[in-house]
Amino acid sequence: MKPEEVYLAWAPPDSIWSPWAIPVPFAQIVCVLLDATREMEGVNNLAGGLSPAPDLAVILDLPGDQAVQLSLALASRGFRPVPLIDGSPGPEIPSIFLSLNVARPTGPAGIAVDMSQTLRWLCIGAVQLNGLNISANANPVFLLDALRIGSGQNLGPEVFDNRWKTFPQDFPSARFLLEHGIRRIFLIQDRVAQPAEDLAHVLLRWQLEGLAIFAASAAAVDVPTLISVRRPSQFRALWYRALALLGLRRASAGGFGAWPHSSGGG
Amino acid sequence: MTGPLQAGASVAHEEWNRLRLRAIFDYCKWDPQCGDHSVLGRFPLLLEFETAVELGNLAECLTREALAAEDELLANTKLLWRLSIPKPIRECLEKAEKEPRVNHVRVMRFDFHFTTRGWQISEVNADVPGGYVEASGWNKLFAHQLQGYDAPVDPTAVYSDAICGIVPGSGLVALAHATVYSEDRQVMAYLGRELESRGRKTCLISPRNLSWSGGQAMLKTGFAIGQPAMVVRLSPAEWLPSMCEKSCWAPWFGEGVTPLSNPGKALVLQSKRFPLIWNELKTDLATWRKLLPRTSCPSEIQKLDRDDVVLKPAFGRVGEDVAIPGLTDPHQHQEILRAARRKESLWVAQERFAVVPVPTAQGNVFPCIGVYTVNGKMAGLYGRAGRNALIDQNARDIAVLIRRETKRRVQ
Repeated sequence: MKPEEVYLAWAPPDSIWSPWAIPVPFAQIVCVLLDATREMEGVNNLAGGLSPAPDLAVILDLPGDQAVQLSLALASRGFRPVPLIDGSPGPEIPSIFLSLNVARPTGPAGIAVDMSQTLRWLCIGAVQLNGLNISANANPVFLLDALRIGSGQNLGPEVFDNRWKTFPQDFPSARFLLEHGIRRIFLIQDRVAQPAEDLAHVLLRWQLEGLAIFAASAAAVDVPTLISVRRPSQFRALWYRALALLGLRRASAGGFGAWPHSSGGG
Repeated sequence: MTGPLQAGASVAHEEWNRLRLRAIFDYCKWDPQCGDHSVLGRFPLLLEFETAVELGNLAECLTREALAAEDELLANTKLLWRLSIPKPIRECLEKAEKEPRVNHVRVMRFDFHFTTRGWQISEVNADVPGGYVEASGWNKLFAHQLQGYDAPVDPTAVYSDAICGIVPGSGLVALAHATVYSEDRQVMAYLGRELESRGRKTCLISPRNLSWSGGQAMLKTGFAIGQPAMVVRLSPAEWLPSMCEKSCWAPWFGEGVTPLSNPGKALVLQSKRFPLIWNELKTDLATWRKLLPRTSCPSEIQKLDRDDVVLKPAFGRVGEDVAIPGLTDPHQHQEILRAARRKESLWVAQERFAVVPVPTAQGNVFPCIGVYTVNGKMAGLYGRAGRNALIDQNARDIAVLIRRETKRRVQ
């Protein structure tokens, strides 16, 4: 499949959620021939206790490949997966460049976040999704990669830094969700816990607008716990908003180089 | 009052969806959505040929004057501190050789607004201007939609040609950017593709992946090794010292042997406090004086929350932290006022201008036309429009088209 075909499988024009599907990994994806049916064996049974309800949206903040697999299981039950993965797999873009890099490419050791399995599952998912008939306004399942900020260790200058964060403007607003009947958010992570710091900026906004946030573990999605999202550092603070703006995203990381950095705005 | 800009008809939703898809996959537009709104507009802005020529001429004059002022400032660095350039960078600029050892490629973008007083500029992006993807791709895609109109010259193509004029044969161009941000990567990916189509090799890196030896940039990373014939940068110069050791960032502000685009010294013009020292320069800045609203240090303004005062950070970009009374969220406006009062030397107060709105089927919009120059020559037009006069992340990218003129071309 071509990158564009993979993207369209995940973000079909008729879905009201497709505008939020982030094209970044799809524009850089290369799919090889896969036996999707065999790969999907067992996947559809994941998260068996979770079914669509008119007022429900799901966020999967799991390691990328697991998030994709779980979203495909939910897609088979009528949910619409919406990938919000904003990371680039590596320095090369084989789908765009014929001969990027004069230098010897190395393996994932030279890359901060190994996205190879996530991309592989996006390819498998494209085949799978093309065979499903999901309604245009199906309940959304927003996919993140819990490994997006890497291991937390300082990266040396030899490493390609492809870490990323999620920001409120990557998601629909609470108002949009409410207008489309969404009242409950299920946050599925490795374990029942507060959301990651960056995601908390999104979920607290939603909570303040009246959405109920539930947390569940991937192993027991049918036992959700209502949570009160804790106020993240610099919530709605000037500098954080500025960081979230497109321009300062560049200014911060571009200049800071290190990640994360906390003194944007200058 | 009507201006020289008109809005064309909006394209149908299905057609716009098709253009959006082409923008993503043919022109590397990877951030087409921001919150609940699409970043890509559905209508084009239409210009007469003469208007495009006028904007090009003005941008070229501004560039000439700016570069002359930059030379004067760097030859006599005693005024640099007033630009609020971070001290470590200022020290490098003060020590740097005055004569370039190689030719750099200089790219800038001037943001023009048609106001009740005619054309004015809000700022220059002299360090790392963005918008190439939209000014190249979105303009071209829309040009196919409208009979009798052409896309302006393609800034990515002009920029690539200028780079290739310096980088020989199959030379390597390192494209340094914030690798953690896809908004930057998309620009560099598209530029890289253009360069590769011209036979050059490219490598997408962070500035911290570079090492330097005798002013020569080197790549010795876990993913690439090589000696770039040129380094193109999309990471703002003022942040470079926060990234890595001095040996990694200081060469950007000296005169080395690897050509750069832009060299770090572009920060002198990027500072919005540049107008504060005009009266102490010999350089003739007549075009700047005519087009840029009166700019002061906040310390010179008695009442900073006046309706006709716009506050901007000295090194802000893309409209962030700009305070315009009545347009900026009141809470944010107060925060900005407090920040500006606390550290006046990091801000400027600019006289507010009144942008002439352009009517569309969905109501008035307030356009901004970014005019690129590459090595002093006009190199393209980048359109944005907001529902109000503040062009920030909520503004939409709007295609700019020029009414076809058969005998002349805007080049």
